[in-house]
Amino acid sequence: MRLEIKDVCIEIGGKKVVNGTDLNVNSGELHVLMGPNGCGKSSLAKGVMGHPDYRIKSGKVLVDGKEINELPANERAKLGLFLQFQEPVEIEGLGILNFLNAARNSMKRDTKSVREFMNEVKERSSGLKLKEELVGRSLNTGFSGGEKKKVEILQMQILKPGIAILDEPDSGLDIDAVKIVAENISKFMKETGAGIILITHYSRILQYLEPDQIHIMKDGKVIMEGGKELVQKIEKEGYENGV
Amino acid sequence: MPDEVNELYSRNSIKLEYPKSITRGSSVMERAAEIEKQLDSRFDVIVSDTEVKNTGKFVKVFSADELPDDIIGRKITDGSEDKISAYINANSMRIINIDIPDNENAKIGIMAINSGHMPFQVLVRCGAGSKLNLFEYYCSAKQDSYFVAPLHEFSIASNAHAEFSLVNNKASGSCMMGFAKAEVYGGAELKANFVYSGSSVTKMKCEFYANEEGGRIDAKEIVVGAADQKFDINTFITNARPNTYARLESGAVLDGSSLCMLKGYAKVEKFAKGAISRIEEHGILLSEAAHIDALPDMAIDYSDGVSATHSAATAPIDRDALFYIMSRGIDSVESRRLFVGAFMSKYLSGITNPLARELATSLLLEKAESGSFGEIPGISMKNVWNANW
Repeated sequence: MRLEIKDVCIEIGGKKVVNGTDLNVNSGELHVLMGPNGCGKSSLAKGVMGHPDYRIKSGKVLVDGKEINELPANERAKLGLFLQFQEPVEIEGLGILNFLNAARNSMKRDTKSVREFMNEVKERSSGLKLKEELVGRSLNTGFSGGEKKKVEILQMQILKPGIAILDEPDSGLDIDAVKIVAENISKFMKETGAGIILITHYSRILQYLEPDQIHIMKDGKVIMEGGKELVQKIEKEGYENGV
Repeated sequence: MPDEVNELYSRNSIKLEYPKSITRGSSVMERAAEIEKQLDSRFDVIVSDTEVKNTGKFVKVFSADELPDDIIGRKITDGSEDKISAYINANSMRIINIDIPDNENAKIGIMAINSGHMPFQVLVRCGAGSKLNLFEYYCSAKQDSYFVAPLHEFSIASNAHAEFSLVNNKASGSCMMGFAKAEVYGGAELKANFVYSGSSVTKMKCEFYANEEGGRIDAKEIVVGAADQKFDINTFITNARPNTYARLESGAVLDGSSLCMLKGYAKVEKFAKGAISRIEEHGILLSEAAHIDALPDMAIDYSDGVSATHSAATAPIDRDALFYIMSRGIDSVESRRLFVGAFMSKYLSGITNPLARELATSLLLEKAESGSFGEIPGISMKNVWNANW
């Protein structure tokens, strides 16, 4: 699978938040997207996934060469895209299992029985060190920040996208939880060959992952690309001086 | 009923004109049997404007003029409470008396189906330590323009537990107007679940009193409106004694140009030390023309150790939540269904009677999706998956 973001501009409420960004990701690749607060990283993620308020005003988003600019979010998901939300919504009354079951039925990506599905959820939850009772509860309702992030990763593992955009999977996590989440991302990539765009502010999660490329975004645009050394430079000098 | 006159509630109310003569229809027992077959269930009591079938244990059905004196003596409404109460007390064609002896358990299902006007009463007395699960299903024999007017009285003796679920699925063109009064005594509990889906116009007034120490009231109401349906739901909960608990949760999901007034009123009376009183009213608007007036109110006459809160919130369907669901590959129709189902499940989760719960869930989800009501919905596991029990 290949995701191409070509000279994309995104507006929200008439305000340009992404201003001509290019980014290409293939299956099996790990790309890290960094940048100061408000530079447009999450807006890019939402725009690529098809949030109706984040309109792509110009440029193209392509999945395996097919333009998806006008597709609704569910069709983009069916093509293999996945967005891990920075701030997942809470939906009281919608059980995680019910939600995941409805999602996998819509995606028609596996033929597992309900029992096999439940076993996989149990196994993946255990791998994420999520309390078993948590997946029986309403989606994200009353969860800690860390639990929400882990439930997002659990959803990715169950739905098995071709390319996942992970919007700050490490923010709000303690040291141990960052390691667990990173290991699960790495394992998922190995198991499925998925490509990842990882949005983060911190280098800590990258201790456990091997990115193929680092992209630095500023003022709605990717302005610098390189290897892991770029992270060290940013850590040392900050975005103002380092970029 | 609280002594306070709430002008806001008076201004926001549906005015009904009560018919002077009661029109009687034709036999509906054949249709009732069909409904039972469709639902694969049997009701203990089938009550209509023309006839009644009663096989329920602890249940007796009387006509108004044959009600025994001892039951008359126990009645807790006399028509002075409210115009609806007065009308039904004066015009009831049948009175269903449910009397659960001390420490007995009972599960009773009532189908109310009419082809003409039907004012009737359900008098419930739960003896000390008893348990009752009462489910009432209101439906139409055909398209009708008649009203069903139930009056309920509940007397829940000490340490008894009563669960009451009412599901209205009457056809378009009909009207439901009702009155309910409950007295809950020491350590007893009343769980009341009201599911309002059918009828063009619904006007209900309920008064629930936690009358002795330790009494608990847990009332839930869910309204699902479509087209030009109108709902006027007025519920009073009262903590009359120390260490009582009274909670009212009301929800509404409205489409089309439907209108709903949620008027939850809580009162904590003098010397009700340690009382807990809660009112929550929430609404979702599925269309621009739909309208919800959520008007919670409270009168707190005592402050020592009392905890009392009320809240109200109404909003259109959450775009971010819909996007979140759709981002997992679920189309917009199913996403809306999941979201609305999740909202409703909070109000249906208190129903422990499986038939009542599955029937209510099925018909509400079907209505939220298609706007139709009054028909018997198919009950499927799909609906059960949707709700988070």
